[in-house]
Amino acid sequence: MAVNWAQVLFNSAVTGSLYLIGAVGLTLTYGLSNFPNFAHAEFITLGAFVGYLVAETLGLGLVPALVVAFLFGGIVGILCYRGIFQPLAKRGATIIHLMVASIALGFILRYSIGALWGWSPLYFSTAWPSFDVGPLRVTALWLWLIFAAVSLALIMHFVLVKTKIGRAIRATSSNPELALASGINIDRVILITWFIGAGLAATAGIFRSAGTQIWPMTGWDIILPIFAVVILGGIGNFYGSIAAAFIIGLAENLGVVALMALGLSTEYRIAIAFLILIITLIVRPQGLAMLFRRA
Amino acid sequence: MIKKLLLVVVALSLLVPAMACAPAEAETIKIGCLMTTTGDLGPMGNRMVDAGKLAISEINAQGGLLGKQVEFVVENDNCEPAKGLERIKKLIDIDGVKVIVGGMISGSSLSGGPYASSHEVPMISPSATAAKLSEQTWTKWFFRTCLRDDLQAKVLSQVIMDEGFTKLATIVLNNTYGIGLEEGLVEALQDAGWQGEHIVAVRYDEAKKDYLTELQQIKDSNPDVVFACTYCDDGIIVFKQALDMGLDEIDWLGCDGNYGSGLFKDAKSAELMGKAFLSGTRSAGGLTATYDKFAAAYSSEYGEAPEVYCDTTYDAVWAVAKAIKNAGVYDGKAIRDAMEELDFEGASGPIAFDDKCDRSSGTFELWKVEKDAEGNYKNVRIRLITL
Repeated sequence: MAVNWAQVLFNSAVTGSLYLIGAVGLTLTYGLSNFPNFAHAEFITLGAFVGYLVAETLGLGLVPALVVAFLFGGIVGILCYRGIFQPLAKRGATIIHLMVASIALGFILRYSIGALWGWSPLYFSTAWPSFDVGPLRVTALWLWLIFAAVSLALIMHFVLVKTKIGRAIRATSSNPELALASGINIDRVILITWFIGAGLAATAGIFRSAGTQIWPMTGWDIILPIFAVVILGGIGNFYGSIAAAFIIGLAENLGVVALMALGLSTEYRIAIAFLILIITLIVRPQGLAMLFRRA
Repeated sequence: MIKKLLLVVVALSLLVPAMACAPAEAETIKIGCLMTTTGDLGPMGNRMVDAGKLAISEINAQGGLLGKQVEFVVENDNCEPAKGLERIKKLIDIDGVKVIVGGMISGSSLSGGPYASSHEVPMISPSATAAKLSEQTWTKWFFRTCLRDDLQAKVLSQVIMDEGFTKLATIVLNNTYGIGLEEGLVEALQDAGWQGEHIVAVRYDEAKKDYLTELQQIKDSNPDVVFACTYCDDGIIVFKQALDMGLDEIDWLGCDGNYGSGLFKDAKSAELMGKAFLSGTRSAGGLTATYDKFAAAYSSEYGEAPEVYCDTTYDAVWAVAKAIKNAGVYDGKAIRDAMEELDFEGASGPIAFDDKCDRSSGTFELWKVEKDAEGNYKNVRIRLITL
C-alpha cells in the first residue's frame, strides 16, 4: 500500500503540537512543585467547556473562547495551587500525598463538570475549511494548532531566556534554595508558572475538542501521551518537551501505519505512548534532559 | 470467655439481615433488562429502555401478568462486557429475575450468556447482532428480536455487487460487533463470487476519538467504497475527520450502528453522510400497523419518534410477557419453552424463533441521508430487502 509520508509527518506535527501545548504546564509545574499534577487533565477539560460556553452558548466565536479559557484555566490553576497543593506542601506532604490529592481534585473537577454540562458529548459548530496543499490535506484548525504550538515555543524561549521572570523560573526550578537566597520571590514565580501552565492546558482543551468532541473525559483521553511527553522530555525541561511532543506524535502516527500494515487494530496506538514511557523510565529516567539546557 | 461471647453475638448479628432477606412471596413479576445507558451508546440505550417501559406500562394497564403487576429492573453495563456479566449476576442473584431483556451489545450478551443459561434464565436481546451468539452451547437460552449481523452483511454485499465496486476499504469498531460485520461482509462477498479486493481494514478504538491517520491510510489505498461500522459518538468523529481528509469523494456504506439523528449533531458529520453515503443497512421497521400503533404511543409518551432498535425492544418485552402468560408460571425454564412456541405480530414484524432462537424471517432496509429544504438532515428509506 502506498503511504503518503508527507501526510503522516504532517499529522504527527498536528498531534505533537497538541501534546506540546498540553504538556508545557505539566512539565513546568512538575519541575517547580515536585509532584505530577493529575488534575492537569481536568484543566484541559475545563478549558474545552469554558471555550464551548464562550464560543457556542454565548456565540462569541473561537478567538475570545481561547482567551477566556486561558485566563479562566490560569485562575483555576492558581486557586488549586493556593487552596490545595501549597497548604499541603507546607504541612510536609510528600510527592505521594500531593499526587493522590491531585487525583482526588481531578475526580472532583471531572464529575462537577459532568454534573454541570452532562456526559453527552458536545460539538463546536465552527466548520473549519479543509483544502489540499500539494500532497497534503489540511484544515484551518490544524494550521492554527501548529501555529499556536510554534508561537508558544518561540514565546516561551524568549520568556525563559530574556526576561527576569523566565530566569527566575529556571533558577527556582534548578535550585530553589539558591534562588531564594538570591532574592527571587519563589512564591510569585510558582504562582505565575501555575497560571501559565493551567491556562495553556485549557487552550489545548479547545484545540482537542474543536477537532473531535467535548465531554467530561476530554482531558483524561489525552493525559497519558502528555505524561509520556513530560517524562521523555525530562521533568521540568521545556526544550526537552518540545522534542518529546513531536517524537510521541510521530511514534503514534507511524504506529497507526505499522499496526495497519500488520493487520492489527489501531487500538494499540495508545500502547505506543505507554511503551515509550516505560522504555524511557528504564533506560533513561532523566529523559532527554541532558540533551538540552535545563529550562 | 467474654471475647468468645462477643464473637457469638457478632456472628448472630450477621444472621439478622440474612434472615430479613429470606424469600417472601414476590409482589411483582420482575423482568430484568441489561442496556448501555451511558457512553457512546447511551442515547440509543436510553431510547430503548423507554420503548421497553412503554411495553411494561401497556402490560400493566391490561392487568399485568399472572395476577401481578410487572416491574422492569434496568441495569447499565456502560458498554463493557465485564460489567455486563456483573450486572447480569446482580439481576439474577439479588433481584431474582427469571428472564432478562438484553444484553443490548453483543459483548455483554457473550459474557453474560453462560451465567444466565446455567441459572436457567433466558435472555432476549433486542440488538445484539453478532452471528457467533448463535454458535454458543447456550444459544437455546439466548433469543433475539433483532436480525443477525451475517444477514446484514449479506445485504451489504449485495449492494457492493450491484454497484460493481471492486476495491473495498473497511473502518470498523474493534469489538464483537464491528469485527463480526467486517468478517461477515468479506465472507458474504466471497460466497457471492466477488472479483474485487478488500484492500484496507481499519479496526479502531472507540475511546481514542482521533482517526486522522487511519482515514489517511484509507485515502492512500484509493478504494472505490468504504464500509463504516460505528456507533454514534465515535461515528461522528470518524465522519467529521473523513470530511476533513477529503474522503467525501468516495462512496460510503453504513450499517445499523450509524443510523439515526444522533449522527447529525455535528455539522461536518452530517455533511459527509449526506454527500458521500451511498446507503446503509438496518433491520426495517415501520412496516406494520402494530408499528404505527407503537410509534404513536412512543411519540406521545416521550415527545420524539422511536429510533433504531426501539421496536425490537418493545417486541422483546412483549415476547417475554406473552411467554410468561403462556407458561402460566414465573419460571426460567418454562418461560424459555414458551418463548420457542411464540408467533405473533410485533412492531418490528412477525415474531417467531427458529432452532437457533433467532428471528425466522427478517426484512432489511437500505437507507441514505438527505438534507431537507430547511437544511436539516434525516435518514430516508431507499428500499426494502427481505431475506
